[in-house]
Amino acid sequence: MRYNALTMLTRLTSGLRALLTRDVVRAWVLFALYALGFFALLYGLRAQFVDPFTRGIAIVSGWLLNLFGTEASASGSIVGTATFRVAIQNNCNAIYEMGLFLAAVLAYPATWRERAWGAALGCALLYVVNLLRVLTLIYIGSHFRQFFDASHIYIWQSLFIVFTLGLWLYWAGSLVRSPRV
Amino acid sequence: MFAALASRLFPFAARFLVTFVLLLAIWPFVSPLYARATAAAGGTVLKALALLPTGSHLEARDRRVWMFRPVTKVDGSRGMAGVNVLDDTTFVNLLLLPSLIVATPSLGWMNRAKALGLGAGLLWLLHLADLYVKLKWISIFPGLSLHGVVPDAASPATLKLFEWLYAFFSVIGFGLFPILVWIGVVSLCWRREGATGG
Repeated sequence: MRYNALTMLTRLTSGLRALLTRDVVRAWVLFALYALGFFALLYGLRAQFVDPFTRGIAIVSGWLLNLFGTEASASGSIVGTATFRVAIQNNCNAIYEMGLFLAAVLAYPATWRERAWGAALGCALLYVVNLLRVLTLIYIGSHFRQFFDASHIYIWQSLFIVFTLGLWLYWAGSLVRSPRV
Repeated sequence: MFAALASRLFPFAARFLVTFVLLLAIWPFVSPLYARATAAAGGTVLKALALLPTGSHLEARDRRVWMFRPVTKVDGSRGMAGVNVLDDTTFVNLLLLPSLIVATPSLGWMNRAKALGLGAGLLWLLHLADLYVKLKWISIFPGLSLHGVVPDAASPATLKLFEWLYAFFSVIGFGLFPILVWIGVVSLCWRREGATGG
């Protein structure tokens, strides 16, 4: 029993030692610092920046719904149709996911030009996919109310964070030509 | 690791989606069990670490974990209050971890199982940390007095710390934690697999 526990511990620490090379540690530390920094910045500026950004999403969503023939209105961060209204909140404005994406892009050993492209294109894509999320949720809420919570909480929230991860993996693995390690 | 994943991003996404949908189908049966296990084991761990307010206990009801604690009301009387401190909108991120691990390419099934076991343990610890932050913040939340309950005493620094921790866990934790755990455990198992030639 004692031997097994020791063997496991030795394996785990040697695995950790192999994992924690200098460059990897640097990237992890940078990611943690950037992620905390972006969170602090966004949470600290929620009244000045995050709330107006969220209201902007409500306005654009309302405008798009009207454009596609569904009568909709937006007021503050609330957007809705004649039969369903929803308040866009922190977990549905994509801004914190953008912060995490930026933290991961900045922490990865790429050139500043690659980082700038990654940040701009990534945030734009996240914004567009988030709009798609809001619009589909309003559609589901309007027509299939019983599926709204499952779509909102279980499906879209999970898919959106995995989309953010996939976007970063694609950028780091395919668009960054030579990681500076 | 990242280049290998990026080059196989579409098969990775397809495997992720299939696993995620399958797990989602069984989630309604799993989540009450997870809530019950977290309330029982979490209550024991938090009590052992003296992190559970005196006289409080955790209880699972359907897919939610509730904390019942003694409170003092603004009129001076005492009573018990029940607050929902964790529900499956938080711990449904459990589904992300096995979906990501199953979708990861070039990882043997034995290492997948190890990564899953280790990762699930780590994620449970993060859920426990989430639970602690929420129950602490709910106990000291200044707005409690508006609901007729006297909040527990806390310094301004503690109030600020737990307000920010609560926001961090609520807003970012859901997505960040399973991904960090996945990267960590898969890196560990991938390296070991590479080293052993498996």
